[in-house]
Amino acid sequence: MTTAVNDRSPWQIFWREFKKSPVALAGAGILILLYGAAIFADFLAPWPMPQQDLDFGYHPPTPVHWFADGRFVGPHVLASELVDIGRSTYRTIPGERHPVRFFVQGRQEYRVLGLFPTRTRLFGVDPPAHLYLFGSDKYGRDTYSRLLYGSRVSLSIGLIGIAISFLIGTLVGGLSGYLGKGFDLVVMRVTELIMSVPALYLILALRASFPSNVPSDRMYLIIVVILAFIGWASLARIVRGMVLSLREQEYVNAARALGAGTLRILFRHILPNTMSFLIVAATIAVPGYILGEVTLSFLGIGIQEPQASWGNMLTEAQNIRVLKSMPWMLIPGFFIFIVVLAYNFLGDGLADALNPRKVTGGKS
Amino acid sequence: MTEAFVLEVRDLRTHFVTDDATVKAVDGVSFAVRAGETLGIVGESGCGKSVTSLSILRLIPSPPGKIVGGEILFKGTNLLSLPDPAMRKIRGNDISMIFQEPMTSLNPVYTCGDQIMEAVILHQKVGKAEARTRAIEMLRLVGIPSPEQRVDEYPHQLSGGMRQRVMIAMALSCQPEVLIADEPTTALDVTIQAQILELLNRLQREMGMAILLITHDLGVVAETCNRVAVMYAGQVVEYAGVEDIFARPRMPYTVGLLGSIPKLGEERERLRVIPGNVPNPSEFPSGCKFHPRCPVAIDRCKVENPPLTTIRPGHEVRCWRSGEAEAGTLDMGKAFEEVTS
Repeated sequence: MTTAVNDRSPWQIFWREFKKSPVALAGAGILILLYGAAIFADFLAPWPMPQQDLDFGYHPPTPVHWFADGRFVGPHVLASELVDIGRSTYRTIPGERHPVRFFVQGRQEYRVLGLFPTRTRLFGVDPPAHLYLFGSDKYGRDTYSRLLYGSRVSLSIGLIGIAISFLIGTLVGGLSGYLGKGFDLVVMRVTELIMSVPALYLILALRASFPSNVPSDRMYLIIVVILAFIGWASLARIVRGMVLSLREQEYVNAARALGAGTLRILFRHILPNTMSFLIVAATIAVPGYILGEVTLSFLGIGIQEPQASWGNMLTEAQNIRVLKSMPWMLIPGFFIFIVVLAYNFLGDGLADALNPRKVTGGKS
Repeated sequence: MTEAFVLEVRDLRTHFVTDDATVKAVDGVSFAVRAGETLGIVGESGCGKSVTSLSILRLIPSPPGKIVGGEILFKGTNLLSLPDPAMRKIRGNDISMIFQEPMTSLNPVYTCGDQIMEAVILHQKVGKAEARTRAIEMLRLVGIPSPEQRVDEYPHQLSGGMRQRVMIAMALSCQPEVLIADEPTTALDVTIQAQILELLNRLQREMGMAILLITHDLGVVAETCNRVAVMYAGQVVEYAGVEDIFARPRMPYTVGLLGSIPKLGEERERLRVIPGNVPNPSEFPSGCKFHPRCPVAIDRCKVENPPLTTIRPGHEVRCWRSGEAEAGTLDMGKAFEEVTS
């Protein structure tokens, strides 16, 4: 009769396999943290995104002190003042201690999840001190806050981009594989065309076909469209290949013998069987979209100031002076690295956990 | 007489056109079944029996396959002239099919219940809840224990015999009038085979459908069929009642097939076989397609393909020498023994 293994639902089997890989779990954990931070950026960031303080350009990260005169007094920062505006050097004003306050009321109102208006922010310090956890940029904007706001753009572009590519790729690839003949021929030549042009040139060429000065929300859409346009091709080819093999399966014949029509067979019987592979392929493809946005913004033709994105935050780190004396400007790059790595770890873990030979429960 | 036939195949021709050659996989096959009757289609691998069954449901992959001639009459309607949507209504509802491989014939991503419900929802105007009740009923009917629980299980959680039962439940969920069973027991072990055949027999008695049983196993035929069509190289070579086939075979090929069944208590070094191989379907020999392997072939067999002739009421044979065998002047069985021993 039914054994313990057999009683598990596919999700339970998936979870059992997935949690065997600590690296994949770490990847998933990091991504959950970062996406959570992006959602609650307003709360977590001490500064609103565009706020600047021109007197404090290129301020190094502010150290947070816990002890004063050998006694524990709780987290506080020391106020600082500009010494040399040319080299952007600062010195702390000794004795001017400013405690880090939690749940402070910010100056600007925002809405949590776009619904509940509030001014509360997780932490902040009173003027004239500045709390630059990750330093500040040329205009004295807080890198930490902008990193959080920028993650909204950079991280969501990956998900939306892959979602669009996924839809187009699955649909086109599925039809191509199932219908075959002329449709297949045309579609496959188109995908080859897209894939044969080096991605960066294609991105730049496509970017050139849109106007250069557009509001950042529309720019966001343009970038998503460009990246999805490039990305669907490889997914479509994967799907087509799988459909070609799946359509010869007996259960597809069985479904036809039951009287199911073409679309029903494709969408209900063939494509669901490609999902486990596609989820993995999509997960591993997300970093490509994130890097695509970063590339465009880094080159100054993507997300425009004052809107923050991880790519345009790195634009400032292009010259050697900044790299040498303001290494904190590279922090967005570090986060890009972490996200790309996390997606790849997650993808690997999913690939192992969704492997159908394992899912059968021991029988290989 | 004719109107009693539920399914009648007349001179069916299914060819596969490739760049190199035209393969006449089915070349003029005719047979008919009545309600409640089981017709066995027997033959070696590659003789066209599966193509015949797929042709009935018009499931031949096209290209390269094409039904180039003949008629398939389901209660008087020619299925070959039906438009596609009408044909889809017939599939699974009036004529359904069980496939050979229970391991791969169920979609791994859906529960058994979902797959049985699919046929019901496709063909009958019922809601999900009712379709589910129906699926559970069908599972019980095909003898699956605790169907309320099994209905939510996935194919990989079931054994081969269970899966074949689920396939049968799927095929029968809309109470079809014709069931095509393409080697339903080939992939199962012998005890399960017997159970599945017994199940099919019982369901046939209860539901009164006609069964087209495609098999290469003469034991299965003897147990379940009323009439038998023996196929060789895309043609029916002998068509008779099951008793006649076993007691009075008149086509050398049938004789050879029966002779190759090992008999209990018989001591032999090697099993008896029909010498030679099934001819390559793209280059069939001229004349009677069996003549290169036939121990009693005469010169006429090499040039002229014999027609299917009635030698006794209800017994048709495609052989120039069937008359001699019927008259008792030719012992085909003995001829085989001489070439094989």
